[in-house]
Amino acid sequence: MKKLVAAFIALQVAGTPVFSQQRPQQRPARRVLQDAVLGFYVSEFQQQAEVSGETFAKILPFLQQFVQDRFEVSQRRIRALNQLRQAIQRGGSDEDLKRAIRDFDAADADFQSNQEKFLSRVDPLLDARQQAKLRIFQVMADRRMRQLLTSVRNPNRGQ
Amino acid sequence: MFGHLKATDFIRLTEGIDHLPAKRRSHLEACARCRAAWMSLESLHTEVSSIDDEVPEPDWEEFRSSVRDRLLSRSIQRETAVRRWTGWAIRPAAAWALSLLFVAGLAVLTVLWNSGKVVPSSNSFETPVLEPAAETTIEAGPERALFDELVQLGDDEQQQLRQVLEASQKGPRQK
Repeated sequence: MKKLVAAFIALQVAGTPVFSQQRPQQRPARRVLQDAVLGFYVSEFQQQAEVSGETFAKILPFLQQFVQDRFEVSQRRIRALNQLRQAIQRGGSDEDLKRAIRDFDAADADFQSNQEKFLSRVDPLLDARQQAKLRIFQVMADRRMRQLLTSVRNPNRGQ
Repeated sequence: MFGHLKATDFIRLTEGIDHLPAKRRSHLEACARCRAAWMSLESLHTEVSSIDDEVPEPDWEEFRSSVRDRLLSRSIQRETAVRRWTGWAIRPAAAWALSLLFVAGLAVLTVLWNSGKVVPSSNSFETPVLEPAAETTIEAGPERALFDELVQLGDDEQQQLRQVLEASQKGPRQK
């Protein structure tokens, strides 16, 4: 069964636009990182969710979409944040500020709606226990990712 | 025997003809030159005497009183100045108590200031890098700032993180 799931994952992952068939060296660095992060979340989910192979195969595209959208929303959020800073620094007009605020708030709202969209798609595929584990997975995977990120940025701190 | 009147004789004459000896007096009456000199001196003496009469006599009592008052005033001022600088040392109890209170208060303020001081980020609007969220932060769902930091990683950090992520999936997990 595990072999079947692994083969299915490999098939799914290889077929997605993110995990293209190009060699890693030929992909942009950002895309390579996104692929690695997505692989990490898929791996974490696989280990924690305790779902059947069939259910996992149904959930996987939603998980991929969820991670990709998080990257996209974060890029917009950071861009809007920088626009806010620049508008403040140069004493921009109220219109500039309001536009930057709208962009920032929209990105903030999209973060939340991305989360709700993911859960609303995946929850119907799971029972209550699995739904609970899904939420624990999200928190724990983020926490693990935070640890790894910290270890990279502050190698002397350790994990 | 003797010549014309001398200066001393003329001075005596200013005090009165009687102050002049008889011989000199008879010479003055006989000598036209001495008489002419005396007459010119007498007119000058009369004028000077009239000026003397016009100048009032100083009130020596008042002068002495004012000098005494002024000296007394200076003495008091000098004593005040001395006390201003040395008073706190001359009256040590109150002065030292106040000094100790001041130093103690200053020390307490310094300790409070340093213990409660939060160093503000002077360029919080200038640095486009987000502060990493505390690892202990508990969020109900996915961490909002996590991917904000991921998208801001530099090339080297991206490469390192990618390697770490791949290693974490291959190697044993640390929970």
